[in-house]
Amino acid sequence: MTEATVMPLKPAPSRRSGPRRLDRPRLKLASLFLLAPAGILLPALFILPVCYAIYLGFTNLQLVGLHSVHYRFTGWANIAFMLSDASFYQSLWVTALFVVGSGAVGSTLLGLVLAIALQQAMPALRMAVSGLAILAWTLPPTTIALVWIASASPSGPIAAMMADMKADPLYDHALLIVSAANAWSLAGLAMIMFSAALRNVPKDMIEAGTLEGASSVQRMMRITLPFLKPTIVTSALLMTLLTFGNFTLIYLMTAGGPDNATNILPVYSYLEGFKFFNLGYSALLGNIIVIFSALLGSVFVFLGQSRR
Amino acid sequence: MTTIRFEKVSKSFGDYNAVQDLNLEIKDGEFMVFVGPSGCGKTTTLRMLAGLETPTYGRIYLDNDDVTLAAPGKRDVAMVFQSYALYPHMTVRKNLAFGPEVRGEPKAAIAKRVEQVSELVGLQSLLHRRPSELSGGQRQRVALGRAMIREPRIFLLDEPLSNLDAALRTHMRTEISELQRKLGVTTVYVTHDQVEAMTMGHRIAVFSHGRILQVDTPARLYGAPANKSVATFIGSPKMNILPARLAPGAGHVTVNCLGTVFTLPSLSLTSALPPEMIELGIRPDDIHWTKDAPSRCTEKMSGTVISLETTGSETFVIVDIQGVEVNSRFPSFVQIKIGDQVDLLFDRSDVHLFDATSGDSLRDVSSIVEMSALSHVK
Repeated sequence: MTEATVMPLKPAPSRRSGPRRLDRPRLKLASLFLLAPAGILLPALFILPVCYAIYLGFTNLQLVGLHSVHYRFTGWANIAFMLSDASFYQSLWVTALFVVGSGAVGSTLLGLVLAIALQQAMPALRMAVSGLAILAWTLPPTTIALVWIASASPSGPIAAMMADMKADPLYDHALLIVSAANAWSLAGLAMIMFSAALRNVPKDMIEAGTLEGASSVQRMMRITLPFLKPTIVTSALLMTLLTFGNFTLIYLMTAGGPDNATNILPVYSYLEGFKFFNLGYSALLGNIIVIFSALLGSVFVFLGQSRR
Repeated sequence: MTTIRFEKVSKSFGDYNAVQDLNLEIKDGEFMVFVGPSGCGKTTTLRMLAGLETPTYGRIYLDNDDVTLAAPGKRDVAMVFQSYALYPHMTVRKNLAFGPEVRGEPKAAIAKRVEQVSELVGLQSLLHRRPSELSGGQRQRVALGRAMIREPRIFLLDEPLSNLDAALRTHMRTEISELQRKLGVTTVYVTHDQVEAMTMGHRIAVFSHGRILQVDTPARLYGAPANKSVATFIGSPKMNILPARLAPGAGHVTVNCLGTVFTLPSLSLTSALPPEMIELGIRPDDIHWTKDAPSRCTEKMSGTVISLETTGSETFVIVDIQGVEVNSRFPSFVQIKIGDQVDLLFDRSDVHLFDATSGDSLRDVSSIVEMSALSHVK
């Protein structure tokens, strides 16, 4: 840089002055041809629909009625409506509670505790419990929803544990119950991640701590957990992403109710579009979801790279 | 301060007997080295002493306290691991302070002790770094410092130098020996490297297949190995083991080895009725080229040179004598080539005789040591 400012008139060295560099990227025409299918399909099937969905967020499109065919661009109208929509703010708050409480904290913590508890367990017990946890993760959302609706209904096991057979936990503590169901279904995945990470904690590091006289709690808090920190971050983010998109479970269990208590953004967007026919507004809510997901995804990718 | 005593200690992993019937006493302030090939039980023995393994049978005492079943943290021992086992998420200072902190020692005392120890092992300028920012030798020092900060009853070192390059290893060898001398703490050091064992240990326990073959000073191990395994394990290059025949006479025995015949006084043998077929051991260092041999060397063997190995200061020449390969040390200036006929001389007092079946030494150990051992140890 400094050289260039001192001698601005000196011409750049000619390309032909030396032998040609062989390590530059070269373009082959055949590669364009081979890339063409992806080059056509990716914009056609992904980028265009996404752009179209973003555009729809700024229209007055409706599912039925006059504006279902003759819709038009309405500019900031949808955004202005959203900013004055109390249900939107309620939904944002519920989403945050659900995603952080159930996803980032709940399922990660559950998976971590399971993995640590099973680390020293008898092999048979470990196989059985981890098998069940993984089964919970692989179950289809409908099954998970049914299991938890049954458990949380009046006179179900949860009501029995509350020693009040008339209680209706799913109605009284809807967000708590769907959060528990979500954490329960994701814990198996978190547990697999933590089991693998725990196996990588060097044994002699723990032994060194033992020889120093550290108690098992001290070894856990001061050696094992710091060692697991990257996995905890990864798991928390992954669980956040998976929870954020968990439309099915909540829709099947509560459909956003009662009184919007579990109305997370994806559910709200669906309801606006397909129950209240406001497809344009629904698309705008979808855009908000995409922005949040993209932000979370970027954090995930960034953290994954910076650790290397 | 602390003596260590193993009493009939055995350790089995499933059907595999890692250590069998081990009896050993380590004196106060002694630098004891456990040496042997991998899988010989030396590390298992060390881990039992640390409390990381529980013996299957037997008792372990520190002074007169039975610590066989005591928890590792209660034994007041410090250990340096082969991998160093430093805590990667802590700075050097935190690594050093970890032990005193978890034991609840006062903060001011810990800080002072960290300063002292880091000065002793030369880490003052690195206290704020993490293990990943240190070189192998520096990590080694942190591991040593972490062991020393405790002022333990005993030090245990498990192959601490095996991850270092050759030059650094030699340097750390001296450094560890010196630290041990300064601190005077009873130390057990495990290694598979006989050079490390010979240069560092006050006494060496040679392990093989879960048993101790011999416990002795480096000089005596070299000069008077109790059996063939010790003889071939200690010393580099390896001792030559040659077939020989023994014939008893009046007050002496006649040894016939590859055509060379000499006599030895019967008194120098452990048994009055030795077997006829034996094995004769002689170190390459004790076999000399005719023109370079000390005058005490009177026994002669001849053969053909089949291979040469130059180290710079000397040349090891492998000579074929009646179909048996004999390694011998020649001065480096000798001009010889493969295929040459050479005469080799040795002193009969330098030979070791082993029972061909059991491998036990047939020579009275005390007589050999007086004659040769001390003069050979470098």
